[in-house]
Amino acid sequence: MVERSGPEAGLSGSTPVAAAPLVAVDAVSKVFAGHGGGAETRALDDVSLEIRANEFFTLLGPSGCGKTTLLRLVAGFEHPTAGTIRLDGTDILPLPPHRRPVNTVFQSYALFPHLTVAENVAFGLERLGRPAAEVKDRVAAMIALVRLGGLERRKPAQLSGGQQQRVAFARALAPAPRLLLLDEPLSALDLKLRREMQGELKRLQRETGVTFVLVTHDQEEALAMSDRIAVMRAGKVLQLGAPAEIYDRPATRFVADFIGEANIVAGARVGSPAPFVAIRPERTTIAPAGAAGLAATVTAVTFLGSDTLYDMELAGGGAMRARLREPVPGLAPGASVTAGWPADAARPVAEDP
Amino acid sequence: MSAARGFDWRRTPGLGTFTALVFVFVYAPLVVLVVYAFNASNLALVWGGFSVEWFAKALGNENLRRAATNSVIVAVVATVAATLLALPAALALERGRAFRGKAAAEGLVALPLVAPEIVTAIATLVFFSAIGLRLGLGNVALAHIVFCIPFAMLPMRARLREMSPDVENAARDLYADEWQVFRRVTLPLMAPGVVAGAMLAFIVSLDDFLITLMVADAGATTLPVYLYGMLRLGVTPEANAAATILLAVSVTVVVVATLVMRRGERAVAA
Ligand SMILES: Nc1ncnc2c1ncn2[C@@H]1O[C@H](COP(=O)(O)OP(=O)(O)OP(=O)(O)O)[C@@H](O)[C@H]1O
Ligand SMILES: [Mg+2]
Repeated sequence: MVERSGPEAGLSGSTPVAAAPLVAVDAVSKVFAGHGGGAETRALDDVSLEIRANEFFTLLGPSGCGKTTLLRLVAGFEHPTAGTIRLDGTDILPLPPHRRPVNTVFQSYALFPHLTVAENVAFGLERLGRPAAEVKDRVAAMIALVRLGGLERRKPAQLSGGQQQRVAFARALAPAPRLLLLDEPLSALDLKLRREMQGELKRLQRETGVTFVLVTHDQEEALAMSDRIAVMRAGKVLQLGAPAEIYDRPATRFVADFIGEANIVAGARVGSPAPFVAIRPERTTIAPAGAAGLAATVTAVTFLGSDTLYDMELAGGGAMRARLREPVPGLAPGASVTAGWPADAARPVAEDP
Repeated sequence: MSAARGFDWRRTPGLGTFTALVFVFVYAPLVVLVVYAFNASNLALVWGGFSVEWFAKALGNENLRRAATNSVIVAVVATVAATLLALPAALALERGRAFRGKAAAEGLVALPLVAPEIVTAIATLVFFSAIGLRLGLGNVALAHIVFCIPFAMLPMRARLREMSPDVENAARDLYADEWQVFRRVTLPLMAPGVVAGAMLAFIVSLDDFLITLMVADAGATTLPVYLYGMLRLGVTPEANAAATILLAVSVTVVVVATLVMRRGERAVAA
């Protein structure tokens, strides 16, 4: 399988064979039976990945690619059709959710509406049978950690969306899980609050040392927060690696386009043996017509303040975009130019599986 | 009507009058019943001044009192038993895994709600004679338990359907076993539905006539059946007074159930 070379190269490139991973997902598939004779859905297709202790791991992919399904399998709300999931080397698949040292922050927060903030945070500790004094101290510490001091006696309905979010974090972190699963925890917040909470999440992860697995379809969020990212599409992991690695050396055409922006050109057109090459707009150059490169016509010029975007149509078909620091004087739509790039900017990428 | 304003059914000519007529049609008999219960005259339909004498007389009628006591006993027993049986059934249908025959079970559970009551009444009577069950008031209570279950289940299932399963999953995720999830999360959140189901069962049992008429022996008559017997001897203000008491109890129970439901909804609306 060609597509396998990408992720594996990414993995071995960044890590010398390290200690046993915290979570090992091995050849996991999940098939949902169709309702009333409908077609079945293969939500996960032979997924294998490893999550290391104390890392901030992100599952990134478009809607419907199976991210939530993978989280629910790890949490224990669903059972895989095939494959195994190990935590600290132990097979956790026979364990029900309440016996797994894994906590979840739900996208809907799923706070207990009939309990106060403090009672919500104490819930897990009490179920674990911790002594009352310990529960009290731990709840106070968690409420301080998420900066909700003074709101202990409120009910969830009396809190803002951002505050409910913090209660959900505190509640899930209070029992000190081995693993914290977060399913698009920030997607319900507005942009400004989301940026703020991204910083908060990083801080929480640093201060608690808990391993975080974040699900998102926001690539900026993934790049900004993660130690490592698994890029998913249609139930498969296309590439796994550190943010810079995935950005600089995308394994497949989809990854190149999904993470940041990329110009995708057939390899044959630029003398590359790879099926495609990907070139970032900021590394694309514009030279006068007739220079070495691909002949193109400028179709649009967009001034963005710090940068200027030039959209071009290639003479042989296809589009290309350059993002230049310095605008080219006098270059307007309709002009004939040559699109080029430094040799190291063209990244060979595979076709998607 | 101008096209620019668009169609608004509330502007239909005569709608107000029509609505008023509907209310008169529905409530006029009840008003007459209640007003004549306070009638001093002993002719049911001739006004002779205000009096509570008939209430006193009704309360002093030993047979009527026994019928009312039977009604309450049967309603309480049927409410408690039907609620306790409806709760696990509602959970199984709304939260349980898909099981073979689930659709059939849902249909069977709803059937008593749509089957003509006279059919249920005859079936119950035939069934009790076939197995030779003669428990007096027990027969009545048993019949009431059975037909109250689907009514008690209705609000419970509606409540469970509007509760996100994520909240129960969150409890599971936070180390609660199945019993603790039920005890600490599912039950408190569905409580308004349980209360409403119990109230509904109580009302349906208290008001039942046909099934009780078929099943009840002489000593096991309930209030509606006894009232019917009274009327056959002529409409008396005493019957009016007794019916008014029954009406007041029913309305109170419905109002309380509605208030409890509203409060629960507000508590959960997050
Ligand atoms: N309980 C289910 N029954 C049937 N199909 C399901 C079920 N849960 C998920 N699926 C299907 O599995 C696929 C993956 O769903 P999943 O929820 O994991 O996607 P996702 O990556 O989390 O998407 P999103 O970003 O929209 O949340 C989808 O095609 C979805 O329709
Ligand atoms: Mg999802």
